[in-house]
Amino acid sequence: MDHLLSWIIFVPTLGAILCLFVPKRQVRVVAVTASLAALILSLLLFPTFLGGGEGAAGYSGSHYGELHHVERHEWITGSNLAIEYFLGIDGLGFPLLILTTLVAFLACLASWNMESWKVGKGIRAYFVLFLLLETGMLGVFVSLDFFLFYIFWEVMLLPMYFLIGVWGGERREYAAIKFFLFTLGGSVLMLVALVAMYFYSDGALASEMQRTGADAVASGYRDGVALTHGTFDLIELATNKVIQGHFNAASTVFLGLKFSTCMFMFLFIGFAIKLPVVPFHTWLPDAHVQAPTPVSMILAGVLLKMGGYGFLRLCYPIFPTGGETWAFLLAVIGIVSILYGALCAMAQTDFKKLVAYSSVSHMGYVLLGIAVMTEAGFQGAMFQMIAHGISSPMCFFLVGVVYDRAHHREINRFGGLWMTMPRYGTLATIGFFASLGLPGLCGFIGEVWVILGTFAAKDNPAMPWAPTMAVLAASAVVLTAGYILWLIRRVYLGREREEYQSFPDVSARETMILVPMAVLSIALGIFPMQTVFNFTNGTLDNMLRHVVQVIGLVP
Amino acid sequence: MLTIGLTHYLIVAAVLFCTGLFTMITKRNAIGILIGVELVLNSANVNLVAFDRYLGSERMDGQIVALFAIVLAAAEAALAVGICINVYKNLATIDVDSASQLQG
Amino acid sequence: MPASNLLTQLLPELILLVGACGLLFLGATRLAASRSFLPFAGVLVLVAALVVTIRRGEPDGSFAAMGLWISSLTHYVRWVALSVGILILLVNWYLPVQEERGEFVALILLSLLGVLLTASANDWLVLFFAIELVSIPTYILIALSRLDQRAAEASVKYFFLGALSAAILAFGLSFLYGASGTTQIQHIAGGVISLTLPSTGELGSIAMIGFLFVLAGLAFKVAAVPFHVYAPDVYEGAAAPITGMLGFVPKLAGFVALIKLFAAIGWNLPIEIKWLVWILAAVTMTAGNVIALLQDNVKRMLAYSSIAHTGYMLVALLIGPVAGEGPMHDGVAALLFYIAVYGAMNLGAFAMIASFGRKHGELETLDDMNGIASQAPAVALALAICVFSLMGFPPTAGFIGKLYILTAAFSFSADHAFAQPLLVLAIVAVVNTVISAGYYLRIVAAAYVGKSSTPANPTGGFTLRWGLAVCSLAMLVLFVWPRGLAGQASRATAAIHDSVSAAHTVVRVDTDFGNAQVDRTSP
Repeated sequence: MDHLLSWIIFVPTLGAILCLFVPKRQVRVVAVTASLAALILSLLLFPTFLGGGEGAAGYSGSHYGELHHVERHEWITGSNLAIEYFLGIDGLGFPLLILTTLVAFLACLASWNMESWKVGKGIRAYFVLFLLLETGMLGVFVSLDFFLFYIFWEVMLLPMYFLIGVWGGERREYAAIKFFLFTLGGSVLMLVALVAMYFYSDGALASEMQRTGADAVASGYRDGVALTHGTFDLIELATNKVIQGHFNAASTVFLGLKFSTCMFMFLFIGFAIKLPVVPFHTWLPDAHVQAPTPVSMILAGVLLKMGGYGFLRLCYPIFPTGGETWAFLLAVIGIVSILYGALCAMAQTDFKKLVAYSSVSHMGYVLLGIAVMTEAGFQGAMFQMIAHGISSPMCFFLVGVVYDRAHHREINRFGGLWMTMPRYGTLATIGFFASLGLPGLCGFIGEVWVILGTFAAKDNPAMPWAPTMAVLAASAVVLTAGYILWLIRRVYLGREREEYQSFPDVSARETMILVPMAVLSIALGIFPMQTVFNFTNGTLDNMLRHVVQVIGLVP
Repeated sequence: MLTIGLTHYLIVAAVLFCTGLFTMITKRNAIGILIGVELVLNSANVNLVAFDRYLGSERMDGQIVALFAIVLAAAEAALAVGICINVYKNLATIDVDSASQLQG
Repeated sequence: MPASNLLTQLLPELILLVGACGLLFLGATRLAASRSFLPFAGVLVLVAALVVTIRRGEPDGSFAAMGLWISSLTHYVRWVALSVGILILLVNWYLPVQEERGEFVALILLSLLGVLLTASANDWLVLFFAIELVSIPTYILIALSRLDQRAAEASVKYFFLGALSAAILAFGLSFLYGASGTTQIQHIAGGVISLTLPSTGELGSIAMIGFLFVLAGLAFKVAAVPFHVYAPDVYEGAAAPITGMLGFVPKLAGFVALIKLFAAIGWNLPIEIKWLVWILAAVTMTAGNVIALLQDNVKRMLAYSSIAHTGYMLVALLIGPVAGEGPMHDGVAALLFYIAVYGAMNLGAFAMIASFGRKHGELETLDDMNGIASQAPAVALALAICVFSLMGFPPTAGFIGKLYILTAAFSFSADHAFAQPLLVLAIVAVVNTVISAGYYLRIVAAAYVGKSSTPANPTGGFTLRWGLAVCSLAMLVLFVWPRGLAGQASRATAAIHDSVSAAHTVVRVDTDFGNAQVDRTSP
């Protein structure tokens, strides 16, 4: 048992504590160092996932539940209850963990020169909250105990609330409260599911023990370990045959509804709010527009991914039959999100709002890919999350760069920025084209995989009209191209404007933030296997096999 | 011939209770309200004594409780007068309608 | 039982009583001129009582005599009430402004004494008087707390409604006496004095009437809808520090009495009563939270929040000790845990209001709170912790409290008749958490986000700060390490579990009051 994951999670916390004590001028240095340290530590995870030989499956495990860098300690124990401090990483959490440390580091750099620092107010509090937020996000991606997961999930809300509420724009109070209430609304449903899953798994094990006369039930994925009472272990809940049988049986009811259907929906709403999908998306434009640039980067780059991660980690492996029941509805919601987000983005005149709505559209692909439950769908959804996690922070930062200079975000008042700021223009084009899904850039692969995955679901009886959906999803690419190209024409092309002549081009610091994201956008687009798929596909395929198997087994 | 039984006492108590409650609701004068409270308390006393008498307790629990309740009522009355004086000092009236600064 | 034994068992109560009387005298002497002497003496009395309580530890077995029953529940309530009592005194250190400090401190001690006696009562008479002892000092405390017409008005309202509730309680108790033939609550030797009819196993009509009236009377004390109407006015009228006490002390006494009432019938509630409490709980928390959303006055908002918390605790009460032991399964243990946590977080929130002042008095509206985070960051942080705890948000103890109530609701086996309504109620409670976030966040936002050209100034002395700091730290500590308190709460219910399991060992059953057949085994 090594403590690498704990170190990764809590290095930012240590940095936050340190920030409280160093002189004000040093706070930024400490914060950047801490987030850099987390990034470097997370890169140390690479060797674990490298060298498994050619082919996807070799890289990350032969079955769902093969974890690395596992840490387990009992945390809160009772007479028949054990909440564990249980961390572990597999192909699902790994890329998102790297993404988080990377985006957090870049966002930390982006916070270096905020307006408020000039008056010297709140710099310490800002970075402390920022680093605590990073801890919360990292914790979500590596905790495999549902209770621990929930705590990280909730705790992360607090710094986010303050970061938007205190350092945000004009209507920050409204935006912060709205963000908080929406997420809280989702997470209380998750809390109900959490408690229900514990007690139902307890019941399942108890009746199994009664049936067999044994005093324990063998663990589903850990050799030589036996369970005597309910569990919060997410992998156990997904892999234990006894628990799975009980959870997915039609005779298991919760308040008169089928248990798996009901719980899947509870969890789904919790994650869908975060993702966000239409109709739970209304917090997102407000939060994004009001949040300061670095916080927007985090919000778009990492927080939205937690929704998708939640689907893949909780909803589908634990309640496959629920996934099957709701598949069609979810796919429709996904399509609606894609189209609605794109159309809304097209109607925006606020630069930042446009990018925010484009996120809704892009995350619709994630939902669609997951909902169809095919290999390509899962893989595409995962890839789309990573790709969006790189391109959207980049877009938000690009908006921030121009906002810092112009102090407004009216798209129609810009023009000819490429001429004024050539380096900025070039990087901006890469960023927006990546978001557009231009072949060769990162946005493309995810969308194509999702569309292919949707086609592939055409034989699934739970997914009628899959080809139609694939066509709709594909045609949305045109809308995306529409609003992005139109945006580029209005902001970057055209006649140079008098009032923007004096704008300096991107500074060294800004370049430092943009270039890694630009490079990654290209790398992901050209080498999708080497950058993402090789790490994720093993876990995803195993998980999907497990899902399909359970759906097949349970009548 | 009608025998007076437990039921009759209970009815008397219930009538007292309702009268007291009604007094509390309708009276505007603080002393009037206090009288209403006393009526409600006394309805409990009637009950207690009646139950004690008819359920034949050798320990006379009910009657003892009634005595205690009477003492409590006296204490409460003293307190009520104190509080009324306090209000009177502030508002120069004990009409509870004039005490309306707190939106309720 | 020899009298000396009784006296040693009641030592914490006696210390409080003697201390309160002593303080009354000291208040009249020249010592009272020193600002801190009387509150300090009050804290000393409380600490002494607390030390005695803790050193004695949990009573092994229980001690019963003269209408008292010193059980593990008593022990728990004693130390919780005394610990929070110390915090209450710290927060109230600078009240009142007049030369009435001796009375003021003594009354706080007497009110706490009432709580302790409520927890030991095993006789309806003792219980009734103990609850009155809790309430009567608070009427005076409100009037003394500040020189404001509104305080006088609040004390009148509180007094009359409190007196009415006491009278209703007495009326209900008289019926319980009629139904059982004794004023004893629980029979110590074995079994409860059942109020149920032997033929049907249900409450007789007399017992039912009594039960309903007692429930109504106690619902006043815990401020459950529809008996909550006084709370917002009273909270607004009284000075903020004393409001922190009003939200906790009567509520604790009320819930302890409710626990005793329910335990008296072995938690074997008739289905009508179950639904009644169900509706009471659902309406209380929903109405409290929804009305709080509409408030602009912070104290009224917190008053409605305290009503909503009553609703959560009623959920735990309804769940009861039937499903198992420990706060994960036992509603009573969850309730005891929750109310202890609630006492501290509620007090912390009001202490925060007390620690800021404006030109013309206390903070009143949300706008008055604008910008206090920049004036006093530490106090604002403590406020945020207490408010998030009230919301039930990790990493605070309020979350653990809500979690326990939720798990207790779930631990009913699905085939239990009332399992599904309880689940629905738990979900209603969880949804209420979201509603409540709507106004709690406004409080935090006012402190942190709001800007004001004339922000309120920090006032109050260091004792107030310490009280606030302890309250908020306790919230964090109890989140990381809830087991200590949870274990205590769980042990406190041992006596209740005994009585529930013995519920069917009926000592006396007879409610045919026209021609009573008494077959009483002497106690």
